[in-house]
Amino acid sequence: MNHALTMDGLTTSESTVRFARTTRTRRVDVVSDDEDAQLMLAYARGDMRAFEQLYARHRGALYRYLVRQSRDNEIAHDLFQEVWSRVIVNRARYEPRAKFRTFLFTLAHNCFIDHCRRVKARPSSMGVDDADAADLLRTDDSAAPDTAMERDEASRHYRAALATLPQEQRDVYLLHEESDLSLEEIARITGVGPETAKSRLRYAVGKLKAALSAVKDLA
Amino acid sequence: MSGPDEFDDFVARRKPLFPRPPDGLEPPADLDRMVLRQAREAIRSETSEPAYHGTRWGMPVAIAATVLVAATIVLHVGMMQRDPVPKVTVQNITQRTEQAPAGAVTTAAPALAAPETSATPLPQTTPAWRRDTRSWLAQIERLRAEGKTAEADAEMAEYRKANRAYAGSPDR
Repeated sequence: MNHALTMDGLTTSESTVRFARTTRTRRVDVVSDDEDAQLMLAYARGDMRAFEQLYARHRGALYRYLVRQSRDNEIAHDLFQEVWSRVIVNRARYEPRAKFRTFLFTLAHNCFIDHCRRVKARPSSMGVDDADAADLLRTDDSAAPDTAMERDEASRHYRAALATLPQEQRDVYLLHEESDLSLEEIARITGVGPETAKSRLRYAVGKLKAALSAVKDLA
Repeated sequence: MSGPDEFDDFVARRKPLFPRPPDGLEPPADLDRMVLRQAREAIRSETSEPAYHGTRWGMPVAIAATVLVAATIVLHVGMMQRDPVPKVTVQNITQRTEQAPAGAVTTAAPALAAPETSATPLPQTTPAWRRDTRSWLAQIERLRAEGKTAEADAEMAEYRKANRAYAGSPDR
């Protein structure tokens, strides 16, 4: 769903900024990391347009990562704001030594970990969400051959399967899926070695594949 | 579990291991608006910072200027106070008035207008250097410089006698 973000009220006569839906085209990712860095530097110099472009490029991926990680929209919204707030506050200190995406998702990962600590959550046991797990086991008897409905069902099963993953595995998997970063970069963000990150990803993918195929068999 | 090649393809983003359904998750418009507002306000506050910088260094400069002016005034007043001003008493003025018809050396100007003039009337035989304090003191200095200490002391005693107002002055 495309939506237009009108800047009225924020500026006097700013034009409407449209954020096209970030379709899943990461394998043909045309966003240049160098361009991201230049946009960030331009924003640090006071160019608001640069920030709008940067934001439009990364808002979807970051949002999905946080929603899938926290599995709570309100928490995800808070974390989303916090991450961008840190980007804004640290704009003057930003140096394009690493990809902007690495910088952004490192902030996101750290914000989520901070959140877990704040609420005294047990990250390792956060993998099972009762509602999502129940969704996973439930099958729709009245499954109509409607494409939209099938897609919704598939999406629901996918979310439920994702919810069953241990937090560390889900973290690595979501970073791989949403941030489009390499395993080495994901390892750096999560503070583990590349082999550990790869192992977590392998387990996560294996479990997801098994869960989704089981649902398909049931259907 | 998938085979190693399949997994490596997945890691390298060459081939998905399973079809991932589109979830259509996008941040709501309100959230976009909040983030963009924050970004814009951060820039605005930054651009208004120079005015703040101005006042920040303006304050010490103002204080320094005030101190400088105050010190200058204090020094100026202090130096003015060092110059000897003859004490104006009723007795001095009376004496001066009495001496004036007798052809005293004092000028016609009022005593207040001629602070350097000796307050005590001097006899006609008075040497020229005793007619004003400056030349009197210069003569004393000259005598001292010539080694005539006794004469210099005597002149100084005379000077003090004639200028009682300065006799007790600590810097004389």
